[in-house]
Amino acid sequence: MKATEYKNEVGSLKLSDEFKAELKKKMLEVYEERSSEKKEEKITVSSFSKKYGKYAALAACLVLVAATAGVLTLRGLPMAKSAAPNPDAAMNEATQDVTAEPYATPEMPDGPLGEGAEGAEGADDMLAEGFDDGIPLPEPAQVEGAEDGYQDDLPEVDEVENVDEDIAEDAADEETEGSALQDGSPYSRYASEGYDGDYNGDDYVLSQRSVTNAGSATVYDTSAALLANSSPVFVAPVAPAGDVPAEAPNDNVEAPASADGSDAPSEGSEEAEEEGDYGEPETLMIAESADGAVENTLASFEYYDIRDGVIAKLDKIALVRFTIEDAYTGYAEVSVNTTSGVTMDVATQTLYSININREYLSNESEDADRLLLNYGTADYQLYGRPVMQGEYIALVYENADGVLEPIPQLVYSVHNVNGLDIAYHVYCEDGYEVDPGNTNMGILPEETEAITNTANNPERYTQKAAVRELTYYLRRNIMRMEPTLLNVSGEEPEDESEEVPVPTETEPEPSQPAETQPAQTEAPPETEEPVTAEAEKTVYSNLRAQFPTGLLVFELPEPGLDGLPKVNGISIGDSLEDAIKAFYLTKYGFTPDAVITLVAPEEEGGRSVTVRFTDGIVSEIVSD
Amino acid sequence: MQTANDVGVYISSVVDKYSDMVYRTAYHALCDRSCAEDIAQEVFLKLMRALPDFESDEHEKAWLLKVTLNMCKTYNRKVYSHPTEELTENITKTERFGQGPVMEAVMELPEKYRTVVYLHYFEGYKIAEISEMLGKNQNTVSSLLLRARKQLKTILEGGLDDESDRV
Repeated sequence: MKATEYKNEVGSLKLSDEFKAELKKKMLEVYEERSSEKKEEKITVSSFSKKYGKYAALAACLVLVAATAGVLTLRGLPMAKSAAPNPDAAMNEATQDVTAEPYATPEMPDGPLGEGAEGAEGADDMLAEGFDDGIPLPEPAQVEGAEDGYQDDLPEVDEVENVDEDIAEDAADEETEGSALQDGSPYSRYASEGYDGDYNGDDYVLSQRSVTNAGSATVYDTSAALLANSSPVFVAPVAPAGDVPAEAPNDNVEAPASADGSDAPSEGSEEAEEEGDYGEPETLMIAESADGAVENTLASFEYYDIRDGVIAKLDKIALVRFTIEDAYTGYAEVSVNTTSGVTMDVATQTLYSININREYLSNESEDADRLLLNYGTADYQLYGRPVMQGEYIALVYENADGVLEPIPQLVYSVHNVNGLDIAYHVYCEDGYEVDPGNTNMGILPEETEAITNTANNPERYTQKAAVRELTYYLRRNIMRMEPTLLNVSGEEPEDESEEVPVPTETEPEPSQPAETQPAQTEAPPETEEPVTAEAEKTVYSNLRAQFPTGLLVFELPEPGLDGLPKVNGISIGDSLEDAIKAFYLTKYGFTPDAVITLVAPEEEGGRSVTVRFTDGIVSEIVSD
Repeated sequence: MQTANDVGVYISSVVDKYSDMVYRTAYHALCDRSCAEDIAQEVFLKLMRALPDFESDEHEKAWLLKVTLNMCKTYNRKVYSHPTEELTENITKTERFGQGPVMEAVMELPEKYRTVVYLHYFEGYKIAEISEMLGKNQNTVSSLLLRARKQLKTILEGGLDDESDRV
């Protein structure tokens, strides 16, 4: 493959003569408009200034005074509000971009693509001088906040809509990548240990292009044997060590033939692993809805295909986080409390007893025990579908048997890596790779990461994202469709208008410490007593913390609008650990169901916000 | 450009000289011909609205490229923010790309790779210049090129045959 070949191919990509002719015509029109506008402007300004010059000067002064007062007023506001989308951001960016230092056109290199591009470095002498300041700007980024009604009720809108933040994160990303590479790592930041999620959900929602380390895995005949020999069965997952993909530890492999009779890959077959040529049965990619009306037979694995082709057609859905409690591999083992029993393909599916601890679409904590039916058996672990173990996040619906089933493409395995909950996308489908241009962020095969749930349950995941960002993205995106939410707890559905639950109590219990201070604040109030060693040992279930100036930031929804509040960046669904760090309360101990009332200083309005935890997760944030 | 005739000559020359370049750049960034045409048109209309005083042809070319890349970036943001915008899955790869195997392979790469590959291998910009243009540091651009080549190698040496029919 030669660069010249590429050049020839690109060279044949041209605009048509008709298009160019039309373009020239339009350019001429624009030029004429511009010329006439300039003339009019000149005449108007000239006559206007003669007649009303002094009034204009006076008005300008008034505007200046008003603007100054406005700025001062804004600076004096006690509370920080949610950042509004800033349509000027892109304009600013464009200004900077367009006015950046230019570059000259060098000669075209002739080397083959396979050769090093580094040889092209060192041409700084070709840089020319700067652009003019008066050059036109590209179109500002569109801010679509006003175009759909549900963005307001979602806190993560700013993350996507606010171009300023996007630009900042872009820059941060590039900095990170650049510095990582300067350190000599050949791997992208997405595969690094320090990865903490990616802001653009489109990149990671659907992605998978590899199967398992099946060639080096121990395979058992039945799920029961797998479960019996995996000790402990539901062991905490092993986090990946750095950038190097972990290998399944057991080398004694005897891979059985696949269910469809095709040969299983030979032991350690690199070819088989790389190409994923395991002949995965078609059934693995088909999920039927409760009434059989919806079939997930899409050949494309774009997220929006799944959303529009599958999710949109489901009656009720829920995005749940759950822990696998038990697994049933066939009718004989299943004892379920449903009227019709469970219809399942025992060759490819396993029924699980799960405990749901969170539903992200309604943003509520749950404690519901349900049954979940999903593809994956001991045999199918070879094809990337082992028996599920541990904790997962999945978009689920309820089938005719009253059993939950996940959308296969939206199942994520949750692992805590370096204190951060990371969701690994576990879906895989041989021969149907996701378009890398949209989803894999350019990750190379050697950058993929293997996680081994147990010694006998190898799975290779290629995509990961911080749970928080993934769920924000999915929630925001799915809620645009105004779906009917599945009540996973089986209780009476709540009023849908209650976006933010009203707290039952906002005042601290009298028996609990009434007032204390943040333990690690930079400037503790003078009236507060110092933190003692005794206080550090106390475990609080109810704490009222008075903050000094500038350390407490409320981001509350506008009155009359739906939305979720944030306090110091913490919102519903965040962990207790994250919250106490953000609230500077790390020297205190808290029960998983603690209630913390945060009080702003008087000069900042004295507002108080009560943050309530359920099972170590922020379940309510209520402002006074 | 004092007379209408001068303007006409300038427009004709700038379009003939740079319109294909702008179009190719936009096409590499967006993977969509009609969008690339829209971007190309907008870029040249912007040029006419502003008519900057370019110091040289290179200055002019760089300005056009920069505006094109910025507009593509803006367009991509709009697409992300507007997920309901028309997608192109139903168009086969041949229809989408259709210029040849290498071009097709390049268009399989993520956008950031495509742009860098195009600027380096077709337009002939050096890494330092691309880094200036894209606002990324040189290490990042080097890395992007390196990875792009690796992926291209993988794509062109095998594994794509099975994919060719897939939408």
